[in-house]
This record gives sequence, C-alpha cells and structure tokens, in this order.
Amino acid sequence: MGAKDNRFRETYRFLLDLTKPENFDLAEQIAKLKAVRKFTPMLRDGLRLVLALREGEDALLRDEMPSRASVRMLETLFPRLVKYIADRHHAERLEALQRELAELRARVDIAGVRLPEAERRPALDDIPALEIKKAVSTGAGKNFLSAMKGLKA
Amino acid sequence: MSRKPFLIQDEALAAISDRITDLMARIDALINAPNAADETRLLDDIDTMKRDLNAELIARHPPPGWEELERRAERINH
Repeated sequence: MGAKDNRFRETYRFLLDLTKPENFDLAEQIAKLKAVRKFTPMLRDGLRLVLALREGEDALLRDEMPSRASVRMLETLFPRLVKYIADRHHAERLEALQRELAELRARVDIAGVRLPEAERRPALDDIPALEIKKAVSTGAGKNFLSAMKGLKA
Repeated sequence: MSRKPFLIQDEALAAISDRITDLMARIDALINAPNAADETRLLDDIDTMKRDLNAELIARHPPPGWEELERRAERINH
C-alpha cells in the first residue's frame, strides 16, 4: 500500500435548490469551473475567504485588530481590490479634513474683517441732537378736497 | 481725495487664511498622488496652523485668568 493511499480524504456534498434564481446562477458558474477543473480550488478559496472576513469583522466588532493571517489572505487573493478600498477611504478622510479646513477658513475670514475703529462707534459728540418741530400746515387737506370735487364733476 | 476703507482686514488672520488655502491645495495634491511623508508633514503643518490660530485668537480675546496664567508660566520659564 503506497503513501498516497493513506491520505485522509473526505467528500462533502451539498444541495442547490435550482428553483431559486441565485442558486441557478451558482450552478451555471460551477459547471463552467468544473469544465476547467477549477471548481474545488475555488470552493476552498471561497470558504477560506468567508471565514477570514467573518473573523476580521468579529475582531473589529470587539475593538480588536483582525488577525494578520486573515488580512494577508485578503491582500493576497484580491490585492487590487484591497488597495482600491484603502485608497478610497483614505481619500474620503482627506476630503473630510479639507471640508473642515474650508469651514475654519470661512470663520477666520469673518473674524479677520472688521469696521474701521472710527466708524464702528461714533463719539457721542458727533451724533447730531434731534430737534422736534411743530408741523406747519401747507394746505394739503384743501388741495385733496378740491381734487375730489373735480372727480365728481 | 483719499477715502476711508469700509472694512479693515486683520493681517495676522488674513495670513492664517492664506495658510489654510495652501494646506487645502496640498490635500488636493495628496488625494491625486498619495505620499506618506508628505501627508505626515501636512498633518504637522495643520497642527502648527491651529496652534498659531489659537494664539492669535487668545491675543485678541484672552479668556478670564489667562494673563495671570501667562505671568505664572513666565516665572517658571525664567
């Protein structure tokens, strides 16, 4: 009996309900992968990926760092995607910082502009005193009544 | 005939406003071309600008007890 025959192997089976559209799509993909003999490696990678993502998510939920192994696996499997997500978040943080600075600049600009000292608070001596005079009739009432008579005619 | 200016701009605060404009331009450059060393320098410069702005604002409107605190701090330094 050779060493090859002593390897411990297990077969796993699972069912796909093809009446569900998402399963039907999967079945199509499985058929394509099997045709190029990539179904089993893809299944292993898929399981490892989901387990690593779940482990990382749970760690972050507990305010802990995800394990280096799971992060490395993500970076190895999807280097461009991981970099894209990191860059996008990085750009978002910088844009938020830029918005904060724009708001700060607006406040600094408002705080830095003021009226000239002399015009801000006029001296009391410079304010003209109000003078109250009795109104003098200019015959406006008579003129108004005359105009009304004219309208009647 | 010279006319009185309608508004007066505080030169120190105007200079800080210009510095903020420059910092914002540097952020634009970093978004387009990320660079860790430039980003570290940018964050340091933002901190410096904030400290300078605080100093300017405190010089204009010192909070209650500030002058006494400054006097005491000066005694410690010398």
